[in-house]
Amino acid sequence: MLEVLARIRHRRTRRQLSPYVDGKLSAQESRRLEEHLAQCRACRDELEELRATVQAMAELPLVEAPRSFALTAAPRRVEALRPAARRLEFGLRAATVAAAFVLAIVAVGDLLGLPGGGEEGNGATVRTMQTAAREAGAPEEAPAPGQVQPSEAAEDKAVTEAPTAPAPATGVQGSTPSLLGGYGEGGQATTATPEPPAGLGGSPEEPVPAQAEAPTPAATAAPAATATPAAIAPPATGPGPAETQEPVTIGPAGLVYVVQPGDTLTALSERFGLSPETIAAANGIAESQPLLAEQKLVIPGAVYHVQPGDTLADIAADFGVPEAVIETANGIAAPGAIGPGQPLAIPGGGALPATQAPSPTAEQPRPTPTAPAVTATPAPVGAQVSPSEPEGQPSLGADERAPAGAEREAPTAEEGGPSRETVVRWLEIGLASGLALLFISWILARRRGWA
Amino acid sequence: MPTDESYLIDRSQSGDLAAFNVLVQCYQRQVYNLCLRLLTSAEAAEDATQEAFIAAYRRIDSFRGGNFRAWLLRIAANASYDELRRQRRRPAASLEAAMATGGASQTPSPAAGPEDEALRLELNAHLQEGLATLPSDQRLAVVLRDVQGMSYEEVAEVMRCSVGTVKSRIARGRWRMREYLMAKRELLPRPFRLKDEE
Repeated sequence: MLEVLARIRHRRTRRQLSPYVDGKLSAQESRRLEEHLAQCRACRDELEELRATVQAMAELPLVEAPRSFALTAAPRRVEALRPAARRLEFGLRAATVAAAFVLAIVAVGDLLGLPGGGEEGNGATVRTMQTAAREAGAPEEAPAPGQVQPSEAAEDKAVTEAPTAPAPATGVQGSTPSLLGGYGEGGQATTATPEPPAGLGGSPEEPVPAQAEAPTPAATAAPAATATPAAIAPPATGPGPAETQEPVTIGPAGLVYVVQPGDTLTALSERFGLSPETIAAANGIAESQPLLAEQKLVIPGAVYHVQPGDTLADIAADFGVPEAVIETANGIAAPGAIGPGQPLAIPGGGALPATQAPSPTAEQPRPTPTAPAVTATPAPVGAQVSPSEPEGQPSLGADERAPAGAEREAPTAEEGGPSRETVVRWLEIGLASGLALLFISWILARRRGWA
Repeated sequence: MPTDESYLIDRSQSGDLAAFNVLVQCYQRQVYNLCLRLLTSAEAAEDATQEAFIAAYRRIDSFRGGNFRAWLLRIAANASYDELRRQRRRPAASLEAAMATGGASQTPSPAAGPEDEALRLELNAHLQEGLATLPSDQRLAVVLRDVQGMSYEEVAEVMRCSVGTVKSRIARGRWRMREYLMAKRELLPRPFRLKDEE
């Protein structure tokens, strides 16, 4: 018992030795300590050693300064800036806190709400895309692709001039089975678009090569857009005056023929090298049904843009279509009269091997004006055509398609993109600036630590 | 003197470099010695001392009365710590060199004989080494108190802590120093050896 007490006293004593050496203990503490020291040899020794140590340190000599440390030039004063610096520091700290707060909110938001929002956005995008496709494609359930029919074709009030449209000469081309029929009717647009969801203007059976290939929506949008110009251009530029009785135009969806008085399905089918059934099927009409003048018929086929070095024979062989058919369909008088870039309507032509068929969509410089072959006289046709266009398919096609494409892309950019990417970007910015602020204020605090 | 000092400080605060240099002359020895005890080499101590005075001049506006020496020594201590950090980053200067400088410049006490003098130098070297083993706060407290002979209160002012804290830092620092020296007692002069013999 006593030993324990002694040990406790001993420990306390040792703690008091240092202040005792300096006379920093109270009178009472000193007296107790001295009592203990009187009995405890170890503590006495320790005290001695401590005193010797302290003494030795006290005797450490004060070394003379090796040189003068006087300043030769006034260093820049920091102090003048102090108040400002303090304010700045405060501001930085506040900013740091704010940044951290915002970050936290953003992070939480990202974890909880935003991702959901993003997904919704995507959903919406998808939806819009689908809608767009639908609209672009077949507004009312488009009949089987192949058979687009201008239900209203019958009523076609539209474009009277269309038939006369000179188209043939230059640019006109062939045969795409599509939808154009529908457009025929003046104002009331588009009844049928064959297109499946893809929204391609292409022909049902074998869409124009390019379209067929284009996998992505974006890609499809582009073709559609380009297709229109093609459709428009030819008529405008190339209305051969007299020669063309071929009112075949290349619409966004393919080849369209405007029925002339006296035309019969059989005659047409011979001219285009197709069977009457094919044409009838493509337009959803009965073979027996009489054709009406100015009715628009979709001619199944392809559009081919003439490549440098192509001959009519080559093209005909490639598509497996008689040369005469192509000539007729395009109103080509002389066999050699085709020029590079010229769109050719290939009735009954299927898709070419990708290599051969320059994508119709690819916008090729349209040499029409220069092309020798094309004797285009900007004749009256232009006038005729233009009226028809606004109401007619081309314009409709353009209107519908372009927007469709736009919608398709836009949503993705705005809804899908922003929610995810911008959040991430802002997160990064926030993090970086937060860290920078922390770092700066840390440095400032460290500097200030001085005085 | 205090009037003098406060006048000089005043002048320094208004940008009078000459006045500040008078202060430098007054305190450079003390500042240099503090740095020397906190660091290991005379060279480093010199650098730290210069840095301390530069910093003091730049911040002199932040001195608002009180103990100028404590304020200055605090800056010197911080400059020393900075120097120490810098040293750790590059190869350490040799301790021997530091000791040599520290020892060489001390003035032999007239009373001591040549043998005692040699022992004293030896002891000083050990003390310096021992100080280097202390944690920085204990080292600063011990150096200020025992080497520089400052009061607990002034030490507290320099270290910006309570006197109680100073007391315990000093106690612990001294304890370690004692341990360190006792481990080498046979190398030490009489006071340490005598105890041994008792």
